[in-house]
Amino acid sequence: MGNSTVEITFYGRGGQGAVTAAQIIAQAAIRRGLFASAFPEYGAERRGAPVRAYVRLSREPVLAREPIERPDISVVFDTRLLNVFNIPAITRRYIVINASSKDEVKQVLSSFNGTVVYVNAYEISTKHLGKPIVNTTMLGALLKVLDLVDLDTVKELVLETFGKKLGKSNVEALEEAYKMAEVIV
Amino acid sequence: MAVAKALSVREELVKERLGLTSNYAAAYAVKAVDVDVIAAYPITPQTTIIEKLAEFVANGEVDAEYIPVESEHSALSAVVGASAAGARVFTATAAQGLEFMHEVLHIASGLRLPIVMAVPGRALSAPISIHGDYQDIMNARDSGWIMLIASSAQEVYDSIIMAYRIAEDSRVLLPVMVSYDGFLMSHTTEPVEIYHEEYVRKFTPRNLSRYRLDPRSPITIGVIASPEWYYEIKYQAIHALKESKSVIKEIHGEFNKFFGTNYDIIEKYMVDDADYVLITYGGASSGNAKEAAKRARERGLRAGVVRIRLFRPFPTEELVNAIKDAKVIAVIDRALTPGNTYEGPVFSDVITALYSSGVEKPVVSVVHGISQRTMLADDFYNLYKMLDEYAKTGEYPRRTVFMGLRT
Repeated sequence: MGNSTVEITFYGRGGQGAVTAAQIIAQAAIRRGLFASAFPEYGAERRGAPVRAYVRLSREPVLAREPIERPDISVVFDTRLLNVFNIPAITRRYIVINASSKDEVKQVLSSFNGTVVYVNAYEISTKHLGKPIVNTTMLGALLKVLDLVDLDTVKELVLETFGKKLGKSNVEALEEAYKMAEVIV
Repeated sequence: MAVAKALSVREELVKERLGLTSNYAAAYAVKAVDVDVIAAYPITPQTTIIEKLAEFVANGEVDAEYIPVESEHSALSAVVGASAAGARVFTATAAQGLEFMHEVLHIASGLRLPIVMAVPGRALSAPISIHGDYQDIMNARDSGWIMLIASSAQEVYDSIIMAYRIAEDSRVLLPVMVSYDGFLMSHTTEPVEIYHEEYVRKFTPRNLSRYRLDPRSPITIGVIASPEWYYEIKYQAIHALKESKSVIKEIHGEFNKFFGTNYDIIEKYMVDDADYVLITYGGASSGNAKEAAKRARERGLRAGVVRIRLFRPFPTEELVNAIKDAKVIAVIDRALTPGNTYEGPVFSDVITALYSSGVEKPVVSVVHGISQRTMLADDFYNLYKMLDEYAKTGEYPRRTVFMGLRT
């Protein structure tokens, strides 16, 4: 990513932890000495409602406090959100997506010209956490293409955010996703 | 030299650089200044301030009495009582909560109590909105408080530290409200440099030289005043508010020296040679306006931003001085004064300030970001283009411009 500011939007559903994921990435960047801002687009707070959380990472102080209209990277927690937010059309470079198979990815992202990172996050998060809360899993997949923050710092922050016990299983989910995520060119 | 000195000062003072929301930054500042009593009632978007403080108290990191009261009216009443007894106090609220406190706001300033309160601004019901704007804060404008409006989480942290020094100064003795954008700041994670608490405490020694409730030497606070005396007592309070500006400036200077910062009661961004100036307050308006000013400059427009950081007492001379050479000015309000000649509240303040100095300027009243209606940097860039057009034609709107309103 050559630009001075990287803009990332997390798309999730209420309860999936998109806001927390955005905060962890911003905090990791800040810990590495970068500038960052992360903020959620709040609607009616209820489980299942579509949620967006925006992150800007930069080597300079971030002035803009506006929603991200054309993200460099979209992190999509559920394929059914693609059309809700028109994600393939507005994303500039990468879509990091939770899907059940590569075939599904090809089908739902046929119109997207950028690079896709695919991970079966429901499977991985259910295995490690016992439930399909995919935020930390999706962070693992995101780190495949985001070089401004590093895996170790993100792991540190996941542990701090979720505490010892929950943190450990979330780190396991993150590590497995980092290993399993496939970059489809 | 000055920059190098500031950097070395911060190296010693800064404990760590964290990613915090403005709400958490507020809680960390309250922790650092060492308060005695916190009373609060949760309301969106303020809740995470008092959750974090409850956590600090429960963990023994803050040695304070935490009173989880049953309403905002009680929250402010509880800190009024504690402050009258000499305690250092904190509360926080927003929106309907600030409305519910309204009666006690006037009591706090009338009793000259050095209370500090954080308010992430939010739209008022009805219709119900949890989203951010400044209507709640503007409604509190005439309650006699000192009002600061911050524009970043770092500034929220620093302002709360300054607020205790200002409020407790014997020349001031007034409550201070530190406000900022609900959600667009209260829930935005960004870098904040947290100071070692010993330095913050060194900067904010308790000043107890005021009348206090003390059973060993009993006095009465808050009694009835007859018409023979009410006027004079009230005048003392508003006089103290007006005179507080010089103390606030002095404390800003001391803070900057101590902490290696660069705060002033207004912030000027590329205004020195600016033809077109946007006057803003808060984080989203100011951040996006600055971004727009950069873009406008790249396209050859001399654009600048003046951000009002101290809202009450109003920075009249400083503001007039900053904009007196501009060609056309717009004031961006995120609140309304319904039924007034213009609906932007701070627009009216700016006009009054210019009038007081005999300066005549074309000034446009703009309302934007009501109930957090999306504000884009491009909206502000378009305003600069509009101001350029007005300068060329000499024609400009004589009523409030409601940006983005569907009619």
